[in-house]
Amino acid sequence: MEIKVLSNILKANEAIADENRRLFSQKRILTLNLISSPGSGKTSLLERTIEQVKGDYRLGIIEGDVQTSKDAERIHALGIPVVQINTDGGCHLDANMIKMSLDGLPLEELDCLIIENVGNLVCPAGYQLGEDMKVAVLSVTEGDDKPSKYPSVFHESRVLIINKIDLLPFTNFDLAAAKDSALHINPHLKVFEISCTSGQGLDIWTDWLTSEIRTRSATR
Amino acid sequence: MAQEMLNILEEQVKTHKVKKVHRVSLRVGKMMSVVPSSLIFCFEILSKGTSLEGAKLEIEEVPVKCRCKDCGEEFIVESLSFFCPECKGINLEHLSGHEFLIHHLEVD
Repeated sequence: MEIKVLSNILKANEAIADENRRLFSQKRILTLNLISSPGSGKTSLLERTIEQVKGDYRLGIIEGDVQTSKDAERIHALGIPVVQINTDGGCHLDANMIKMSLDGLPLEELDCLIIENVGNLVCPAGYQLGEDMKVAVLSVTEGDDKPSKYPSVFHESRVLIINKIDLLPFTNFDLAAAKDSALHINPHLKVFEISCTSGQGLDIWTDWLTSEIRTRSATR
Repeated sequence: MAQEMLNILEEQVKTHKVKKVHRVSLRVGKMMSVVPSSLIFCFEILSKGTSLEGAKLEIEEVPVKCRCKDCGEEFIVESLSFFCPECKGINLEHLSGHEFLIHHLEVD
């Protein structure tokens, strides 16, 4: 006998992601899901972004890591509300982890929530958290073939941040090739080239981010 | 993912009062980055001791298909290039390639 099922395997996650999305929308919070390999500089990007934006807008952060609260401590030191999620071996955050962690954040007071996913370029792309957009981070020390090797993340993201561009002279990273391959996978991708160390390009990124925050707070 | 799949399958087994599941047929879009051999491996481990133990997973890969919103062309996306082959447009509607479905079960 055959039983037709036609059931989406990730439906449980997607139902909770929709719940989260409705909540963020109701509170007019712009929500970003930051995805990259380990060591591409997500936490440094957060620190630099917070420094530039926190005077004008209220940010909240969710830190996802397999173990430790080292990243959350770095964010906490900047005086920003932060919740740490330890996945205890899990390679991605899911919508329920986000839902459970929201109690620890003053949602009423936030303009923007940034979720730093677990360092991994594969599974985080498949799990909706309720975010407005995914932001992929790629550093020039990783190789310019990352977009073609891990296409899903780049296809699902609205933004690509190429980090550590101060190190370009010391690597064989081909910036044009990396951008070209990412834009083939996703021609709508908004690309920023930055260095969290030298500060190069950060203004352009934070100007764009704050204009998105303003647009979000004006619309439900 | 294997665990979430198993949860849905166990629910189906209960609902339909199934004695034995022989085959589970999945449809997996190419954009989902699912590695069939890994999914089968995880499923075999997780299903031990459950009502799904011994069931065979069959995974059918679904190509990425798009329709160009500018010229109406429908095409299969090759080598992950998301441009219309006809007019080079970038406003594409995705018709398939993102699914991760349990399609049907063969049972007793």
